[in-house]
Amino acid sequence: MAFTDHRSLHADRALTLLAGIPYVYHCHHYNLFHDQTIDDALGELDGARVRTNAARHAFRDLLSAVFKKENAVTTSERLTLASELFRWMGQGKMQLELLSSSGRARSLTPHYGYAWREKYGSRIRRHDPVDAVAAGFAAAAMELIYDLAPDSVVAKEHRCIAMRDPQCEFELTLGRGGPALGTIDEAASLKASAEPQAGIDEDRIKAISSGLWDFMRAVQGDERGLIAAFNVFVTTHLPTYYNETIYETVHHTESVSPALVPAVEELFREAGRACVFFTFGNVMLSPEWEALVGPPSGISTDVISFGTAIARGLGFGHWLVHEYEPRKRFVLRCTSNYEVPFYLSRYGRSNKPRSYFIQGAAAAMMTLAEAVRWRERPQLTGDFYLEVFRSRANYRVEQTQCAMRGDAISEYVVEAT
Amino acid sequence: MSDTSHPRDPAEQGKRVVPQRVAPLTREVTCIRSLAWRVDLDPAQDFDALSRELCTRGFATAASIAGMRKWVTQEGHEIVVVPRTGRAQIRVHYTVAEEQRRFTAERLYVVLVAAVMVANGET
Repeated sequence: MAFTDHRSLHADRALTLLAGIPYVYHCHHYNLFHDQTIDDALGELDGARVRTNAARHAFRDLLSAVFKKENAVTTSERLTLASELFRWMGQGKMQLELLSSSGRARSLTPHYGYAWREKYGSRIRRHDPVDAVAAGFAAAAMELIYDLAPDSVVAKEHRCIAMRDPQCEFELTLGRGGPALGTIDEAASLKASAEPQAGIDEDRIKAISSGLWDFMRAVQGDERGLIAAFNVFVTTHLPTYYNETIYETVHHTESVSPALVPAVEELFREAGRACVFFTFGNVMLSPEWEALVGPPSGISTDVISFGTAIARGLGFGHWLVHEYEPRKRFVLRCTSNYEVPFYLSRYGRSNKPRSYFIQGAAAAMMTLAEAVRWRERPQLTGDFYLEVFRSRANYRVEQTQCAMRGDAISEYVVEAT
Repeated sequence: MSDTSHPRDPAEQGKRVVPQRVAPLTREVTCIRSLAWRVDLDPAQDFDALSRELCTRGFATAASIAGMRKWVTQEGHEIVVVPRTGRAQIRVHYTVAEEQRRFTAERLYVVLVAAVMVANGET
């Protein structure tokens, strides 16, 4: 299957599409952190339910589009296409045994379970399955293969390699179904983005992100359905998954425990910080980056520009450096990002800024620029993460403009405290 | 994370065996539990000659981005080099058990050192 042929790019908006559905790249550090954040906020049971549903909705959009592009109409065509797509995305190799009324799925190497075991398995015993994304994918595949209504399949993982089981196993049964949700596609994404603006160091940022897009075009899952790149496990992933989990969690908290909203919002900022530290950091220290850009210079303006270029290269949207004064102030702007189209399409205009991921990411970019000695080749470990952000980081972030709130663009101001 | 005092540390071993054009093996700065290992080569190295020698030792050339060269083994281990800076990275395949990764990296390092020496006519 040549899924690469279904990729397209709006370079001026840093919008990456697969069969017309937006996709981004995130690494296992962020993916695991993100999912843990949902569970921390909602508890394991509700967290797994929200994550599974979000994955189901995200993969319904993508699988529908891919089936259409490939003109896949028979059960076997769709079954093969679905499992190949999942493997290609670096989400893992899955065996799907799906009937119209029930199903099973198995995997030895799902991204989440494999990465969790790799990162934490020798230190922590886990008691809950971790692969809600795989479960949601299997549910979406069964719904679409048999033309079932949205939300009509219940998927549950009952064995998981993160729990030290030999393989992950999923049971799929019929449920009640639910309303169809709007698809966040190319048109919705373009409608929710502003005209691109040029920022500081624009030419260099543009050249680097272009090089990253070229590199990422060759990135795809191996025979086990995993992508090892930049010294992390990478996934081609769906913004709808991240967005639905974040905003369903925040809205739920707003309705039942408003006093906890600031804490939950801070958790999602933390996830953004983790993304920049682990993903952006690993990219900047990789041989691929050294070939593309050069070895780390340790110059703070470089780190700010490089972070902006990486965000674009990963499909996060058109980020730009509006202002930067070392050790004092950094103003990041986004004329497009992957959060806004979802929020506006699903919920309408927000009453406040809600771009938590990028709020955290902007603060982290400032911290990486000022508090990390890149030329000393730091170990990007969990301990170093805590040291950097708990001891060395003295920056606060405020989102001053938000396209979800109706502003033309989104703006994040990071200042020294 | 690093354990340079370990008696079997490849960095210590490397001091005894490597030619001047190859630095010792060290754990890479950004590894997933010992998957990536760093070696610094002389940027003046003849990388075409090195490629030929690696290909006689079980490696195959693989596609890479501009400015980087890559060789892979049948088991999926990789050596990548940035010729401009001489930075090389040995990548052990992620399916190798964690406790075996260091030793797999050492074996790949020995192959790399031998290839460099032959490529440079040092044997």
